[in-house]
Amino acid sequence: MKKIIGTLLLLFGMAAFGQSKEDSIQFKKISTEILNNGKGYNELRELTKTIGNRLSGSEAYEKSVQWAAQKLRDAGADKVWLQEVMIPVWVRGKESLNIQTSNGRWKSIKMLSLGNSEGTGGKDVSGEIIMVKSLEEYDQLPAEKVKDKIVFFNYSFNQGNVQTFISYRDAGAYRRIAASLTAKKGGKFAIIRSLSSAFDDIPHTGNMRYDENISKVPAITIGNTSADELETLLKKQKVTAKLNSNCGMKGEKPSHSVIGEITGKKDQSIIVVGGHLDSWDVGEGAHDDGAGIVQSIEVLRTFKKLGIQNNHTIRAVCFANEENGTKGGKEYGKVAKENNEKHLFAIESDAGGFSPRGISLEMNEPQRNQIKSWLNLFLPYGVYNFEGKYSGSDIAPLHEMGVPTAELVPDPQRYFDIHHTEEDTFEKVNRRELLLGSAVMTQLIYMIDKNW
Amino acid sequence: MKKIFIILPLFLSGFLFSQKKPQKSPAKKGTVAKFNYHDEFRKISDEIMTNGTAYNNLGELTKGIGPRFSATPGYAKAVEWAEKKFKEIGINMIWRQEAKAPVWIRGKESLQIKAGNGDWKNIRMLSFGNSEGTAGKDLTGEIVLINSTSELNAMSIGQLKDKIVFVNVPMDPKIINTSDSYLQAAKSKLISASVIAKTGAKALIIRSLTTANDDTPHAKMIYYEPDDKVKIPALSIGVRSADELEKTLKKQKVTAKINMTAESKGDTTNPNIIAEIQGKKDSKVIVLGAQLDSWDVGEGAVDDGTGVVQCMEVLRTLKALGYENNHTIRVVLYANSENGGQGREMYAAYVKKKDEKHVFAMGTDAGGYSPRGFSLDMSPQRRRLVYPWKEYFLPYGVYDFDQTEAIQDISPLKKLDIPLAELVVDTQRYFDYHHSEQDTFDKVNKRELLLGAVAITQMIFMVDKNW
Repeated sequence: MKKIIGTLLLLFGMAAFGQSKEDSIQFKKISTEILNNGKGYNELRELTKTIGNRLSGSEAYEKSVQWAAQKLRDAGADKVWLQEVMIPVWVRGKESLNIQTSNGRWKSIKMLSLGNSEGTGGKDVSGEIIMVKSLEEYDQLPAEKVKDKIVFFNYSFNQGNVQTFISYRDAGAYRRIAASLTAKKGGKFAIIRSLSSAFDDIPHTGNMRYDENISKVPAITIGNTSADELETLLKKQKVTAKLNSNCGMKGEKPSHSVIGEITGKKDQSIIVVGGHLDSWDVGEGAHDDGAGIVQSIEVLRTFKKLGIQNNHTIRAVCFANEENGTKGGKEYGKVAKENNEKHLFAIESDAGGFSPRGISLEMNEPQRNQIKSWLNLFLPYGVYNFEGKYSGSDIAPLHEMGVPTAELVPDPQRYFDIHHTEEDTFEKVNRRELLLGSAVMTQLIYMIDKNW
Repeated sequence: MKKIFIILPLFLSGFLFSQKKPQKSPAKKGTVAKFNYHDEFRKISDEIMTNGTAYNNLGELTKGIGPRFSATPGYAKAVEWAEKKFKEIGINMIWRQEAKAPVWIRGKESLQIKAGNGDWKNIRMLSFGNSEGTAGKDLTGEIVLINSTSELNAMSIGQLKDKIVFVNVPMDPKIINTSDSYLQAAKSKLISASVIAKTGAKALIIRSLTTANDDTPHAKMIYYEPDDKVKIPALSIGVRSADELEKTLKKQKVTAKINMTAESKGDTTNPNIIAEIQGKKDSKVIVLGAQLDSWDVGEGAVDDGTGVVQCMEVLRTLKALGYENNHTIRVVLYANSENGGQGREMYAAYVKKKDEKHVFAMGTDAGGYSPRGFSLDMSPQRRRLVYPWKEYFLPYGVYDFDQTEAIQDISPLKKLDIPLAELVVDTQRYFDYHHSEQDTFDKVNKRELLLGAVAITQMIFMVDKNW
């Protein structure tokens, strides 16, 4: 015990005095530059309002590639390039869900197909709905009770968790695997209650996947209000559902991640800051993840603007295809390996442009402890939480190669109200919150660049 | 130097330790904590996050009643509504405490400007609260831009005579805590009608104190000094208009025409609403408060409808959990916070007169945003009693206990030596909407609002158990 305190004292003593004054001045310069002159908010307006949503394979995505390359050049990157990657093409098309109760009338329900789901080929598929509240309940259902039925997975987002990501992950299995579970027992398609913290009827899309060798039945999602109403109905009577959807996979095509960098003054080791450029095909992809994109570009711009002499190369990566394939992240990792690039550190911002609260660190203990020793530098910016041990999916391939990775942790209360929905629009982003996130990432990268 | 060296790292390591080992009890060796505070905190949080009614109540208050400026029918309706709500959650002790309330009527108001010999152009504006008007007549004059105190001081005597002073000082965007930048801007002498009147100027126009980048004007309370010879009218304009006006003034002479029927019409009374759950052990009081009144624009959602419904949520939760409180837990919904502060003065006077022992007073008036901490306005010794509780709060995102000022409706209680605290929330969005027509229900997020109520209830619980 004494020893730990001794070490900590020493660590903090050094941090609190030695370099820390210089660093805290630099922190202030960074935040002042960004809060006064940051371009992230206006750039996000351009990305969301002029390009809008940008699903992999769409024309809008290709536009956003050109846009991001230009913005990186404007930010003063020494080098900007596109990294080619094959991405899956999934198209939504027309879709509708109707339900019929014992009075015989059909009623339309607001719905979205889950991403990468198969459709019904434009034909009506109908059947009786059965509801389960949990996977355990579904496991116990014999196949004959599911055969030719439509399974409604009505698992609620747990409002009790303060960290909404925990509730999101907890409910996530339903979205990912419900279709194959349904098919295994002969069901016709799956309806999933949206992974949403909101109290409205907005459906939240998101990725799903099929198990191999299992027939591919459609999976769709409905909003919380509709799910509640459907539950009430099902308790009293038989309900039939009719789905018609044209969605489906349309093969693959080449697309691009966008990369811009400021070359290292001392060596060519790389520090990555990134977000994903693609979004779902509803809403405007503002928080998810337009925010991460403009924040990453802001980091480069700020280094340039303040003339910070970076030791290592600082690279902003706008990853392709995070939402329905993470092909951009995988390709980036693969190329890094092939080229034998030395990556020192990677951070992603993909949890919305809300007020920053911390940085999640997926790395070894000494590295983690070193970053934690900078706590007092970050506290004036509202950043106190370094306890998370996860990082974003786009930089997971780098992590697997042994690169220490991190993720910006913003306030999580509002994200899942709008995540993957038509409500994820520019208006939901606050300028100061967004910019403060960029400031914190720039500050962290400044520290890493200086100390690693 | 050495001493600082040791104390600072100790403090910091304490912070880290509490983060690392939340399971460790901070209780002194030998004493066994009666409660598992982590469990108690979780119970409070689960109850509020899953069954909380604050958000729906805020909907009723903002959409059903709307703005509730002092001495208006809106305030009277809010009083009835609040009493009904307290009854619904099972509170038996509810009473009113009448306080003086100034009657100020905004009436009609307009601002027009003319650049050079051009046409008159309308500018969106709001009169300062309690400002004198122009009695419905046009007040016309040349605008003079003042951007700093030194500029004002550099003016020779008579230079501002009969002019209209335009103060265009923005809130400092680089200050992270926007409450700090607001207070800094609000304290400026430049936006005092009293100071400006002494120069002989006829009226004051200010750039709204806001972090937003739109054209919404934000209301502001006026300060006339008792010895003011003239009370000049004052008004605010949105930041876009302010930027444009500054640009125009750099090129040419600009004339303003102000017409305001605003006037003060004496006083009436408005009640504070008080509701309490009596203590099971004694009648010492823990008081929690928020302001029931609002400005007359918008819906008074983040200022301070959110505080009102959070206070109600605290009482509802204590009831729902069947909590046996030692001390009396009391909510005061203050009247007239925005344009006079009569409600808070009345409550403090009442406490003094009755010599009621108050253990603790807390306020929530910074918007229903995600909580981040508590500002502790109390003796350093007492503050140190709160610090060991940090670890229980940390899982709820509440980590900042370093601010030391409680400035809102509970501030008069400071004179009575009562330990004060204020909920500290994320400050980034508040001044985008504060005192403007943008302060509406849709700006409030349900989870953020409820989480604030969670933190307050947890703090009240700790104080009730330990003090």
